[in-house]
Amino acid sequence: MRVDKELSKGSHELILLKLLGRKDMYGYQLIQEMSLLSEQAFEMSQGSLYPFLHALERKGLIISYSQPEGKRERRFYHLTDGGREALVEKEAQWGRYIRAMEQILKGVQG
Amino acid sequence: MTDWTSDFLNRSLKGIPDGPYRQRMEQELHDHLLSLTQTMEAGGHSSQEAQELTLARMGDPKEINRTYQEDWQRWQARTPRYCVDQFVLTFLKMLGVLCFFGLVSGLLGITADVTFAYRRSFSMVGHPIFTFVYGALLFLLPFSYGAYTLSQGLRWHPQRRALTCIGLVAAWLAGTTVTLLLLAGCYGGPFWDIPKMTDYACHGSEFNVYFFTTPYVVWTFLACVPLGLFFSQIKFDRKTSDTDVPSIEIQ
Repeated sequence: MRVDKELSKGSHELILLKLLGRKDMYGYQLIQEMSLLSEQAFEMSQGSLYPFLHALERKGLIISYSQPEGKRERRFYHLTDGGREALVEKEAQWGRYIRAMEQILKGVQG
Repeated sequence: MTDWTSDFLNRSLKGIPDGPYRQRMEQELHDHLLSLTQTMEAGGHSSQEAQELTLARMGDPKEINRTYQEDWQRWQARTPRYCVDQFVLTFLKMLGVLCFFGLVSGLLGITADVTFAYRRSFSMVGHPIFTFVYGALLFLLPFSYGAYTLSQGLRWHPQRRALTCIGLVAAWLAGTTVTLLLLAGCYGGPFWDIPKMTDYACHGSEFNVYFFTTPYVVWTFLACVPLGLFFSQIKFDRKTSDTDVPSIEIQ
């Protein structure tokens, strides 16, 4: 089941930083991993990914490099130390958010 | 590069000039198109079907182009060349506002001195409040417009506030230096001797400009920074911030 896009807004940065925290990836690979790990709950618009990655690069959270793969040049993205710190912070914020929502929803149902 | 990928890339990157940004996007998008096509073919689709599905999954090139145009503007807004271009453009616009102000003042018959009367004229002589207001407007109108323009042009730059203030100070320096040089040319003396030059401006001859005093020179200089800081607070679009992260669509 896909998630309503209004619900998923704001989590984009966390998702991409988390994926890059596992290993360096290129753009298409990031989309595939996101879809796979979320069981297709998150399926990213293919074309709009790259401006988002560029913005993360401008913030210094990730860097990119080109690497030949077969006959093609492929651009990989790598999480920086600053990106790792931001990831830890965002994961903590997300945890707090989830716990707060659970408490509210349990309270309403109770 | 094949025809269909080349066509998609040209439509998605339309209007973006050849340069580092376009070259990088062409490389990344081309790799993306081919990877997606390979996935479709691995899923059992024919080559033609895979291409069609890939194009469908990539989305409307016009929408992509709109997103990339904005991304490109954010990209180039951080280059020194772009900042210099914005400075020059702003200075020219400020000069235009100044000239327009002078034109309107002249048509309204506002004059600095009773000596030159054109039709029904209004002289600043003997009207200190009016002289003050006129001098203030002569500074505030072009410099407020300049601060707004510079702030808008540099809205994606992380140092927008500092650059806006620097731009205004540079404009002030240019304008004041030219004025002092003209006064030194007319009356003689070192142009950097501001009290002497402003005295010439106020009392030197028939062409007196009574508001151009040393305090005027000082407060217009000091006012550049607050003006720059004020106008650089304006958010010109929804996503304007120093951490310019666009949103991505989740399908």
